[in-house]
Amino acid sequence: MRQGQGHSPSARARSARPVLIGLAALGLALFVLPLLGLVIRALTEASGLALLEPAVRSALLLSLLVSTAATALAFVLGFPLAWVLARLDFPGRRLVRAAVTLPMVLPPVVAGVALLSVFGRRGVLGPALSAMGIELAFTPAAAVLAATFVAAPFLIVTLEAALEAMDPRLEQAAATLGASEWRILWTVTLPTIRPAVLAGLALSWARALGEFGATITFAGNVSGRTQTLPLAVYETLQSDFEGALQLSVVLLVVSLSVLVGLRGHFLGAPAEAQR
Amino acid sequence: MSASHLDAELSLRRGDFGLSLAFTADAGATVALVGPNGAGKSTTLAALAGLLPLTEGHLRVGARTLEAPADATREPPQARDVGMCFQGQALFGHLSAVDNVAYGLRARGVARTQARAMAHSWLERLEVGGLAARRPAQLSGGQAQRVALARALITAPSLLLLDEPFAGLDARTHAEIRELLRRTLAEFEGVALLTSHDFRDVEALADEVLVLEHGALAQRGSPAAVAAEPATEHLRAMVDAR
Repeated sequence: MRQGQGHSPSARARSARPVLIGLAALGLALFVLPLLGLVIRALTEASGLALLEPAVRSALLLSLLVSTAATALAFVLGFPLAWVLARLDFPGRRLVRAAVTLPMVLPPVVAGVALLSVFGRRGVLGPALSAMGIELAFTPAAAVLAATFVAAPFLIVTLEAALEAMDPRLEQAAATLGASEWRILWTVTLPTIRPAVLAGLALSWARALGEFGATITFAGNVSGRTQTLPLAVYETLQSDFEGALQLSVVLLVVSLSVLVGLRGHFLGAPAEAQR
Repeated sequence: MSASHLDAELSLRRGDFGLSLAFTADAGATVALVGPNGAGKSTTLAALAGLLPLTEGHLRVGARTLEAPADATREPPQARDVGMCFQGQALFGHLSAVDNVAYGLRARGVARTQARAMAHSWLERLEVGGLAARRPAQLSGGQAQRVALARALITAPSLLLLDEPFAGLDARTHAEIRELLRRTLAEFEGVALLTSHDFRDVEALADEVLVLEHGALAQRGSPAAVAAEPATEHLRAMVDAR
């Protein structure tokens, strides 16, 4: 009999807590220690002039451009997809949702190979695109497409959840008040799900900024043309650990400023979504 | 606004639920829909507003046919000239009270300044002029209901639909809103329809009562007439509880 083993009721009730708290502390250390190590070593060892090098600046600029363009493209195509998934009932909806979210679980390098096999020179659409004078693979446009492919699902999933949680009577009220469907979209739907839009854009932008596998496979690693910052970090690491440290800190700072800049909306998003 | 007679023969299916209901109402009349939850009150209002399509029947306001499935006529909610107050108000959370009220005019192309000026005067009329700048989250239930009423009335609709306008209000606010509605509806030239679970609202506001059960009309008459001989258990309980 368990009760005969001498534990008091309160001790039995509490016994899970120290274990959970201990494991949580271990988990926190796993996330914080590497970042702390990165910052400490960069501060103590690196001379801190990485940003002045033209190659670094062009990689940073390209990264910012590519992730911003990818996020814009993700929104233009992703909002309609989220809307269709949330509002229309049609056969195959689950398949569409699976197809749209697959890139979240797909290894990025596989995404790169897949993009290459369609848009590459010898890909399915390659000859047709060549005939029109369009070469996608190994261009900055390919970097944008690769980043969109891996990042858009984060935006779509966030937007679909918000559209489904939205009170349908708001759009109905706007319709009875005479607003056209476009007007309802701009003046009621998007403003109502604004926190989710901002959170989704931030998630998508951050994912695009860090994109590596699909980019190097589909867009290549041409300095000044398709070499984004993560690619530059990887290449620098082969010969120059100190340089890689500096570049990593640059990426860390950019990512952190997005998080801090959107803190109100981003961290507030889960609570607001429950309203 | 032209005085408009309402002629409705509503028939629709929605999953397991079917609605089949015919009635008419004269311009200026207020019609109360009563019945238990699921009897079809809100469905009737949604069908009148064009939010649910009819499968059979017709809907005419004045000389205008809003919906007639037989000859494939179906005006969208935007073109129906209805004002609807939803249960829980459904105010736009990102807009101030005055911009909520101005919304219908803006959608009709009225300039912002003019729309806001008219919205202000409607808020004054419904005794919430001082709350124009507030967001819906900063309004009490009674205040939000007044704003929602102003939003529905500002376009001078020929059909005013009030879905449970007293839901969630405390007793004192309920009585205040009832009195406000009584005065407002007295001046309203179109047909007003409202749903309520409280027979005192029906007596104070309605010229005619439609008693619904299982999506069909169980009884029809003036408040005094249906109260004298309630045809359904639900109505009897409502009358006894007044």
